Amino acid sequence: MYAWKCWHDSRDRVILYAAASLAIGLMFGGVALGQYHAMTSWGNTHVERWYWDPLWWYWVLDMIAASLLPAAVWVALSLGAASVGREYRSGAMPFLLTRPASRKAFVWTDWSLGLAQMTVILAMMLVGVASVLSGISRDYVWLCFPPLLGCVVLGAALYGLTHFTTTLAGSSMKGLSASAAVILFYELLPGALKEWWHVSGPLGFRDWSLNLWDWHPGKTDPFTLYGWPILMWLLIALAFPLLSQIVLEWREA
Amino acid sequence: MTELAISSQGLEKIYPQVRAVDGLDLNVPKGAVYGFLGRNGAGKTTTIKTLLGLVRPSAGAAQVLGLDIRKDHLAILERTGFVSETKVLFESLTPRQLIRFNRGYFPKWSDKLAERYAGLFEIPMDRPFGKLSLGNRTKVCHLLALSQGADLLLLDDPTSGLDPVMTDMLMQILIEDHVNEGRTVFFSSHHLSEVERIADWIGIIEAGKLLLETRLEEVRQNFRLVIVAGESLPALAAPNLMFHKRADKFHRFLVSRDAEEFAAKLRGEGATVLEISPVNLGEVFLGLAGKELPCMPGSAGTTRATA
Repeated sequence: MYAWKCWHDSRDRVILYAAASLAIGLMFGGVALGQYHAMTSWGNTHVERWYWDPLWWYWVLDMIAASLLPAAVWVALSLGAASVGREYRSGAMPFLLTRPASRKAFVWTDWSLGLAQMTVILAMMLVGVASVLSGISRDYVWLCFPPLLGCVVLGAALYGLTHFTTTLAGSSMKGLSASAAVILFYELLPGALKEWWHVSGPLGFRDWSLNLWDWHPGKTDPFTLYGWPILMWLLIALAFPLLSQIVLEWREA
Repeated sequence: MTELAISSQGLEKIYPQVRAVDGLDLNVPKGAVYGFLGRNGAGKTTTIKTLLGLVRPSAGAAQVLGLDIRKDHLAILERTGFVSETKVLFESLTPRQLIRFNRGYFPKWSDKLAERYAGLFEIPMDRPFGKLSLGNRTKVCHLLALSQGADLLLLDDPTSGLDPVMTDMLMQILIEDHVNEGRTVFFSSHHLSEVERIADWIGIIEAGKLLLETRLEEVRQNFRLVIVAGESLPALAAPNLMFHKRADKFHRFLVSRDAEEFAAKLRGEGATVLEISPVNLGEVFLGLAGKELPCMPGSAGTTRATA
């Protein structure tokens, strides 16, 4: 029941984001396909197709990954701020918490649905690209998964953070502000520490943690998915709903 | 021995600045309509929220439908209908969608009753809750609580926002559909006339303490106001004395029983008893919860339901 309510409240936004994501993917794919045909008309005489096709996939996916990451941040913040915690602000929390279901169930239902929605929205961008680039070759569709996995895991951590701050603050706006502050802090403070006090450790850690995959066009194994930072974000992503659960179970309505 | 729908023993809720519920010993018999009276901030809402697990008690214990509020919270919620003081539900959902949301949580939910109440209350079923008037919001809250087949209804200021016609209808429904079915209604209110109309038990709370818990019938039959003239009366302590107030040369005593005996005692002290009169709920409430402190908090010899 609560999943249905969450879906009812978020569906317009999710459909809009998913459509926008798909449109961006199609646009990237379309531009890339045009470029591909232009290049191959020249390249066919010089370069073998087996070299061009994967190279095009790498190039387009590398470009789209640069859009996927900000999209993940945006979607994570937007969906996280609509978490169960906002019911405190709306005044509906006493009603919700007097339904005979555990508070744990409310948190995890809400969190799971949001995570699924975020994954679908981000995946739509790659669906758009892949559907166009399949016209070149279908052999490289699997290359979409590393950036998707990386962005979903990082997005899940940010979504969880916003979910938690919203539950803690009992307000979407306050939760969103707190979450944005944490993200900015994480992004900017290491650089400032290095600049002002020549402390380079935090900057190194930040760069390590955000380096989730690399592309190596032309190699046998064209990408590397870095396991440790992904595992770290995954654990963080799972820790936040637990914290939200603790807050909801302890907080009085 | 009366079977109790709600009972509490020394229930307390202490906030950093205030002792909201202070050693509450409630005994609400099963099948009763219990009016829970108190001034603003007396502790009525905190008590109800504590019984429902929305607020954690600081001390003491309580049982709702025989279930422990700390351990059996979800089982209590399954059998209890609740209308909150604020009457806020999900603003984005229409009453029809709220029914859809709510029905899955309650095994005894009745669509037939929901349909009936929607018709009786004249609720616009397809308008989002956030766009309804206060009166219609209140009606939707009642519709949801009344249709879930609850054994106990906990209603916090149930008639706020309702016009007199709807108030009357709600009272009728509470009596006909719930109390006559052996269910219990516990409601807080500031409207003494409503309480007098439907309640058979009353509890008066002030500053978190229960000042009085008795059958309303007992107030009507045995409670008396004794008005006395005399300037220097000795301090009287009697188990049936609810309060003693002095205004100029007159003294007002509220006694819970044996008014004639009490008056004779006063005469023996040299007082002139001017009047012994029955009292209504308003006079009892104002006497106990009014600004002057009552001289004897407690139930002062009234009949109490005991487990």
